[in-house]
Amino acid sequence: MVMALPSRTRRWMSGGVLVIAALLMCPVADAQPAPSRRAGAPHVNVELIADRDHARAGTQWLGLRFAVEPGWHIYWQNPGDSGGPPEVRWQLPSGMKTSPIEWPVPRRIDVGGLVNYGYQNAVVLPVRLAVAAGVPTSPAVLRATLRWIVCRDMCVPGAASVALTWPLDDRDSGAVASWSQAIARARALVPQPAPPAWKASAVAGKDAFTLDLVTGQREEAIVFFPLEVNQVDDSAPQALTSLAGGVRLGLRKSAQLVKDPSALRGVVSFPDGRAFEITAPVSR
Amino acid sequence: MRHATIWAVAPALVLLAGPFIAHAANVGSPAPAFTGIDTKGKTHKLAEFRGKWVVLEWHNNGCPYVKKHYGSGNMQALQREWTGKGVVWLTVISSAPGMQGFVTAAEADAYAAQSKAVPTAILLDPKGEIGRLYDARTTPHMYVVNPQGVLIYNGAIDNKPSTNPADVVTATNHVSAALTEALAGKPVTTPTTRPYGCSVKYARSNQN
Repeated sequence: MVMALPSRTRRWMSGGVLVIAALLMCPVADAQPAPSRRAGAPHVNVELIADRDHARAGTQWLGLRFAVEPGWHIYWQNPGDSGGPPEVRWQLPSGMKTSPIEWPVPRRIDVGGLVNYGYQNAVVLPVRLAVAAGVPTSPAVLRATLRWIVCRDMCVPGAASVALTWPLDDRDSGAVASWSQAIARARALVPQPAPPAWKASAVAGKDAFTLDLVTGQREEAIVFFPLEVNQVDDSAPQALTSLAGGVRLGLRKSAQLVKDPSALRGVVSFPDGRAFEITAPVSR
Repeated sequence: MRHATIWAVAPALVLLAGPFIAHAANVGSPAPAFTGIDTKGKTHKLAEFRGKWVVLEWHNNGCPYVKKHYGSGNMQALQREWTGKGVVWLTVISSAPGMQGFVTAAEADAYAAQSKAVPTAILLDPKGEIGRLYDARTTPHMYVVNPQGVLIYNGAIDNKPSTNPADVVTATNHVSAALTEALAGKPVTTPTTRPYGCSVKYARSNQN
């Protein structure tokens, strides 16, 4: 170690000289380091991706890509029994505007008998970006401040700031095509409005709702994710009955439900990955 | 005589044998009768508090949402304020052994002393019996019971479901609101909200 030190010092010194030389040669407009697109936090890595390498008037897409340590999860917009969804705040060049996060269909995650709705391993949360005409296509810096909670059997809140800079550096330029695919895949997992031919309705019993979904064909498996809180018991099993033209679900009422709602709004998800938003008017 | 006894007993057996216990912690209904042991080894039943207002606070000292309220002093201030007005404040710990928040009696008392918490008693519920009876889902999850034993509040501690201690100051505290209204003889405006926090750390089993 002692023997290595002098030569390491020499290397550092020569490296230092090179860095100084580089700085002298480059015009320094902004002393701040380029903000990073990626951030690491306990149990979570997050990065900001985009489907283009520049801004263009109209609509384009950003993605908040989360890599979650196996065994841990982050949350859907309705987290279920506990936890909370990721939140983002944006700082954007003028003329650019983001829409709220669009949420790919989640999974039911059992935590000791309680149920959360969320994501494991990896998820891209798509965000629509609207760019006004006349906005410079680049340079531009798009900053996102993120907060989330990631849980396994215990929970760890996290926060990060990430930023995407246009034009992209060489390495990121090469990645845009794969980012675009990842965002497109995520968008395909965001529930669509139910087809107009479908009929959803619910009857409120004393302890449970009976939700009927008529899709035109017999359905064998379906999961309902409520969009409103305090209506449905998140941890209760959903009693499923296949019908000739659809499916019926028994949904236990939430302990927090005081008055029957006028409708149950939620996402229904099928084993093949299709997911749709439904609104089922509630009758007695 | 024997026949009558069997008929009286049989329906009760059917209820006990059923796989589901219907939601018992409904606002407006009698609060579920529990028996619990506190950190001093004393047994408490809900019935012994008849005639008093009771707050139940589900707790896990490792949970970031609980830390928000303890780290900011919010929970302790609530305990002080309301026990000072004669309310019985019961902190309930339903974490199973090996799970986050599980503590021995000595550890629970030490945490309370060190954080200057002043509940009336801390109930240790490692089997999750009281938790499941109340369908406690999160830490914190708050309940308020009136002197007649009726549940008047079930839900979140306040209206800012975050882990950010700064939110405590600007939040509406649902427990204080419910107690203030109910003590003044007024109906509780917000009797139930969706509780927020970490999931209660019940034992991992095939309980559901």
